[in-house]
Amino acid sequence: MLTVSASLARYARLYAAFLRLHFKRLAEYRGDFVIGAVALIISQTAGLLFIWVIFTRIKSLAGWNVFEVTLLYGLATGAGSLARLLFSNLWSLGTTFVRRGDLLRLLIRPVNPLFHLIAEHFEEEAIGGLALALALVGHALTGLGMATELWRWAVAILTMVFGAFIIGGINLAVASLSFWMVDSAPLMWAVSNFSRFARYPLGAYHRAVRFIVTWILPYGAVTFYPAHLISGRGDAWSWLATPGAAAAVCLVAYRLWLAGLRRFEGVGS
Amino acid sequence: MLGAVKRYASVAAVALKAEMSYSLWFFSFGFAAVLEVLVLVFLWRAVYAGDAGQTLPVALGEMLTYVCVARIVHQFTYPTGQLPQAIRSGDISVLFLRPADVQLYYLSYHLGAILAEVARIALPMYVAVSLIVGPVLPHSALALAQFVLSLAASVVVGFLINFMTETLSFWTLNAWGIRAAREATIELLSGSTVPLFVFPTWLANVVGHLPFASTVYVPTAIFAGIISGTAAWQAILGQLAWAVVLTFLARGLWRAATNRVIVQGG
Repeated sequence: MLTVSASLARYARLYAAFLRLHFKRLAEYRGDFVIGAVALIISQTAGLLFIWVIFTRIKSLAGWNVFEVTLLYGLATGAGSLARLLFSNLWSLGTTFVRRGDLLRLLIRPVNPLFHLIAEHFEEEAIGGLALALALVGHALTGLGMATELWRWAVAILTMVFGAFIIGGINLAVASLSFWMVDSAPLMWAVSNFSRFARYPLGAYHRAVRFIVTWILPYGAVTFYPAHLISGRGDAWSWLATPGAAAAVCLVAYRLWLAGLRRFEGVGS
Repeated sequence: MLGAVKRYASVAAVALKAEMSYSLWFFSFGFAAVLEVLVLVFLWRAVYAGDAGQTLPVALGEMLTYVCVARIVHQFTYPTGQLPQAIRSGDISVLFLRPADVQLYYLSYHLGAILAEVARIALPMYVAVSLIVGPVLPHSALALAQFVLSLAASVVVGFLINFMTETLSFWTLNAWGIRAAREATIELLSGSTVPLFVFPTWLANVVGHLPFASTVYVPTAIFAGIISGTAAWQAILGQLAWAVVLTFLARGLWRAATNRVIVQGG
């Protein structure tokens, strides 16, 4: 137990060191940070306009009112931004680390190579998306008359954290395919687009879609299932889908990563 | 004249080849775009099912045709990314020495890339969407002809919007941020996600007078028969007007940017 907490502390210190390094490098490009953060906020406005426009015409979408749908959208934006903030280096695994061989640099260091890969890049622009997500959750909870119940905020934020691990885990699993096919980033793009379905109530879709985003690529556990608890729609137990899916996805993804890594070392390239 | 056509055609040919080599990316972009269409199709069906007051201005069939075609037309607004790359790497200075007009050079490149886009993304998307959603057909033969004209104008307007924002790369290194901001603006105001005819009237009036509507909304609404007859011709004229205005604006901006580079001696 002592060794576990000691190594956790060591990795926390290491992550802080990576962050310091990153922000030193970043200090030169402050204007770029603002452009990027603003771009990420306005990249969500089309989806929000869609919600606003359809709710000027109808009262409920597949049984969800405008504030409940806003909550879904906020959770999706929050988890997506957090995943982007922390795990976006996975997108370069194929091109930079496998094909060009940068992974070798990580393998000779005395840290977990996956930790090193992830900690090496921090996409600070995603903070803009996080701010938008909190505003959306706040707007939704205010509309539902629940903004003063702090536990709902806590569950929403916890959901975003677990959601980021679900998204990051799915990305890791697909990124690991790069060990076999050199660059799986196009597949990551195709797979990650399934998360679009989870921005709106799953009841609106064909059951095949619902099945996929529940059991195969559990993006529904990022938004739809936890939203039941947060917005007081009942069915409080469905929140368990979120930490459950996060654990399952990360476990599978890490095994794939390890298998890929063995192959990489085996080839000796 | 013929020499000039040949010169710019060879630029387009190079682009066609370069773009063809990324097949898996093409597949993924197309696949992701089909998913995007599916989300909207399901949601609009749910909206129409819940619209007891029948407040929506067009029938469900027209709406679904619009949604499918809009996403395909939207695909043509994406830039090739050649210009910001050339600015960043400094290769742009070589182009200053060539006997070529920079705007025409990049327009030709864009057209070549679009040919690849049609073969690799637009046609497969059209087939996939037709199989899943049902046949996506133009409202009439005239509508199809007007759509083709309108699409051509839309490609030019889309190119000019890209050219102007890409010129900004002379001032900032964050090409990614500018690109994301532009794409978000196009997605929001071009009618590719939400058609202008379901906007509240005041907003539709404002957005209808911006150049972004010329890129996706006009050709798509013509295809679906939402804009037809004389109104369609007027809308195409409006697109051409934007093409002319933006050509001059883009040239002015380009001059301002390149003067700056030459003053800096870079």
